[in-house]
Amino acid sequence: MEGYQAWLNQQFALAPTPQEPFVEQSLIVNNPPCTAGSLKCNAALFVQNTNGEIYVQDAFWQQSLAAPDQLRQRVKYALSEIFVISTNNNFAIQNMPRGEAAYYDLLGKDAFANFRTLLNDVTLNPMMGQFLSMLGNDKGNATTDPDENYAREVMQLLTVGLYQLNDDGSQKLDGSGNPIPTYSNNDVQGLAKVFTGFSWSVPGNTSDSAWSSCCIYVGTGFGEDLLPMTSYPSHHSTAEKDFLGVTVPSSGSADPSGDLKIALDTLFNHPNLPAFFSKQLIQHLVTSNPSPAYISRIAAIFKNDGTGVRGNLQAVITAILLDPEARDSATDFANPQYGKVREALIRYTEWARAFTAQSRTGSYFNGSTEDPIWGLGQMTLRSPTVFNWFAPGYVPPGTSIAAAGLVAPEMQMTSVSSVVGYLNYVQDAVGGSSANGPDIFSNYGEELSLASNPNALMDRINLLLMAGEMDSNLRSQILGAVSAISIPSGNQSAINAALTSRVQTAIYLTMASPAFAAQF
Amino acid sequence: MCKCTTNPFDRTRRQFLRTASLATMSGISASPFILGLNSVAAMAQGTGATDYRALVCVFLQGGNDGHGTVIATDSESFAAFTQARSGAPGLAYPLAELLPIVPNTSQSGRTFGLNPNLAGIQNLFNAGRAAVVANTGTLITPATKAQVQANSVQLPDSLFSHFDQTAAWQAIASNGGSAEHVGWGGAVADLIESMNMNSNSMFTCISTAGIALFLSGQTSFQLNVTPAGPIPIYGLQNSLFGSQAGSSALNSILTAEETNLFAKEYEVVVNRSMAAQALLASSMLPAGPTGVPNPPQYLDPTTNMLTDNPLAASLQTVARIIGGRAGLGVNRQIFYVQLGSFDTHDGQAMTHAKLLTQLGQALEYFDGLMNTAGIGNQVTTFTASDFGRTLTSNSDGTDHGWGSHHFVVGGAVQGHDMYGQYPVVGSDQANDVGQGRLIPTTAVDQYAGTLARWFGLSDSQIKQVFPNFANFGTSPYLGFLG
Repeated sequence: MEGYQAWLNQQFALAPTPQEPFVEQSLIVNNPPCTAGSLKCNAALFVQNTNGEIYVQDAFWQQSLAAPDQLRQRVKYALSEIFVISTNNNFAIQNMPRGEAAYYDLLGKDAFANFRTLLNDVTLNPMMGQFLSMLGNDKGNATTDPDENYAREVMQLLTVGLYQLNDDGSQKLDGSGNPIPTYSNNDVQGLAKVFTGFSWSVPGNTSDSAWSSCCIYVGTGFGEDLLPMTSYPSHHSTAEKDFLGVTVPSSGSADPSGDLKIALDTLFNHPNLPAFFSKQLIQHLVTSNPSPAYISRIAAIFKNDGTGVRGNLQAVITAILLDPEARDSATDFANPQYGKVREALIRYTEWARAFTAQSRTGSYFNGSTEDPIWGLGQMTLRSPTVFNWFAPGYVPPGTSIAAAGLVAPEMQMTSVSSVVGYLNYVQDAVGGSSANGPDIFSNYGEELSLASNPNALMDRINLLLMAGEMDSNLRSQILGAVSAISIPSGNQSAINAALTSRVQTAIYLTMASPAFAAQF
Repeated sequence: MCKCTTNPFDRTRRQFLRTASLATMSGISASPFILGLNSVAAMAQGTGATDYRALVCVFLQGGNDGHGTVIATDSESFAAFTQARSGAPGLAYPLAELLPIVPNTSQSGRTFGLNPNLAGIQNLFNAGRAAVVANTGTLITPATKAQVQANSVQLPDSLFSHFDQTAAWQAIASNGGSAEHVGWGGAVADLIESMNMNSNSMFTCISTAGIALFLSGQTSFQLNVTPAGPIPIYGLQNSLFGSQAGSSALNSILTAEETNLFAKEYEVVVNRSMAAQALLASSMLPAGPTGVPNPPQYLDPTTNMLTDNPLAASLQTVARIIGGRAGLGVNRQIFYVQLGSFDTHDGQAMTHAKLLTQLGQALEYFDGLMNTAGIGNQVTTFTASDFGRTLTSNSDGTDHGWGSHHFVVGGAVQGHDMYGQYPVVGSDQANDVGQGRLIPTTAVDQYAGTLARWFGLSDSQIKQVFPNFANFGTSPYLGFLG
């Protein structure tokens, strides 16, 4: 346990590796130069650049494969599937690759901070502002009402959820045994008024043009796409705002920041939040069906980290990863209901890190892997909707998982298409080399040195990909296939080809196994 | 990692085997799924349905603005619509731009027009091949405004929530929103399977949009197909990294018994793909001049440029599979296609115009394909969506509503007409629970039940799939399919 804690502490201490500078630099070097004073040129480069999204994706691969702060990267990725924005069908965000990267960086920066900070930063981020249309949300008048989008989703998806919860994640029930809604549409409408009057931040400028249209303030290293949204009091509702049992009285003068603080404090202190958030983070990192006791233990840490602080994410992450239910492998393996399906993107990334994959061009040009047939069926910040690629409560019908009353969120994107896409994509990746194949490849130096001894090769691959717990049937299947590749004598290039084939066969077959697709 | 016990005939696997009889054609010699006997027997005992029928669900993801899709144009209604949308430039269409439709059944003197971007649907309507089903949505039992306000009527859970109302539209059985995990398309397919109407039920349910709740059944499973068609697992098709032993081992690994439920069910999906791939790939018609013609591009009203139509591309894939129905051994199929981005909280004028143009053009293209194939009367296409939207605006968009107007298309449809009741337009009207969020006057159950009866289900089977059906009258069918 001390070893784990020491590693966690070391990871917590590492500075976040940001995407945004990589993306900005890539945009600059791959496009015609702009003079500093040319707003039009800089806007086209940074905030009206649909094609620049590729650099966000390359940055993701570069960091996933090479950045030292791997725990942060992993948690950041999980947060991006809870605090979802997506450029899929959202050209406003797609036009702003730098802003998109900065949003992802925000999740990384706050991953080890306090949930309240995370909630504040997400709420005021202009990419989230565009995604859930809080940016430019006006106070309303005789014929219009405030936009309800962010008000609804911040409750439903980011903080409290639809039904009142106990600290163990179970639903509270009324006298008739029915779940109790957390909020009504009146709460949505009340909260919607709070989220009015925020838009692009142009330092020292709250004119109508700053309010309504990005981008009048953009250049290398600065811009509306990078700054948190700012408040425009004249566009903020002064009407009474009722939500979640709180009333902000009507006021003669608009106080957008004060109202926002009340709203976010209310959400942060809502009794649902500890269990609601903790359960989802456990599901992303450890197991799809955590026990009520496990959820309770984490929710308790969320409420109080031991020093009286609520929402300390380092403490929550530590508790999730060091909980007996995450660490007691003997108990977990004996329980066929334990664990989760792992996302294809996570499985591919595990290969790349295990075998120190590198980019042939240095660009990490992997692009989007979201195509279910030709890719991995998913990509960061590209999910179809705000509901991510999969829902935390997804039950795959007609399965033993459903029969056992369990959920399997990642099964929602495990389709007859995407499973084949994964197998073929991984075969290409594993089979690549410094000379051929995808841009990201491995040299397999260590593995090749073991390949003349199939058992030694399998020991290493078992360690790297299966934590040393590959079952004997799978091992013997792979061992047989590896041993069947005979090593010729004499011709060194023929020997090398056979050794390479052994390594690739061993790795691919391990990654193709259903056991590797699951985490248990 | 997995203690591989031998328990080959758990429930799920057995069901899978039952539907996997044509795995022999997949060319996987070592597959354990070559057990065609059950299905051969089923074919022999089949009801002999030889007429082909298909249902195609076009899901407008995000919640389509029904108020701005089918618009009442009589002066009183239209004035109310214009007033309600007056704060939102681009959402109050000029009367002259609307596309008139004149239902065969008189609507108490009211007149109607379609959104200016729905020329495709206007053509289908005027040809008698499309109908409007007004103010349809999720209900458990009929509900009045007074009952809703007094909280004295049972309502679907989590109204106005995308996730839950999508579930209520697609799953229905409990109207329990996100707790439900069997869709009504899947439940209908389960009954089709039980009636042996298809010799190979593996190809009953097809989605072009990932895993759809609508097509999730208890015993039937959905196949997910992209325009690329089903792709083989390369490592099974050829040698693996130059080694035949590697390919054989891959087959063994992908069919080994797994104990952990997550590994096991992942493998079931892989195996289903292995079993379906070759037959589907060989049966599907090609795209293009030698098979199903490619859809024309549409004129994007927001850019004035010819642009690819993603919905039409999905429907082309559906048509390619329907064209292969004989080879697939199916007499009944249910398809799910999706068009996204209808959640128009902002920028609605642009986004909605573009989406409706895609919708109208794609539906007309698909209906034309079915006519050309001689099965225009055997394929019925219908729209569905999370919910309708508010009548009033938030200045450049609309928010989540409830009831909405929908379209049914096909030769079997008693078209050129309107079914259900078009509501009184304006704020604070009889069916308005605020900002023009409409209490539906027609239940999804009625809409779906009407489709299911045409598809071949009996009254009692319909009540089984839609347990609240009887709440909507002694014969709640809507008549748009005769």
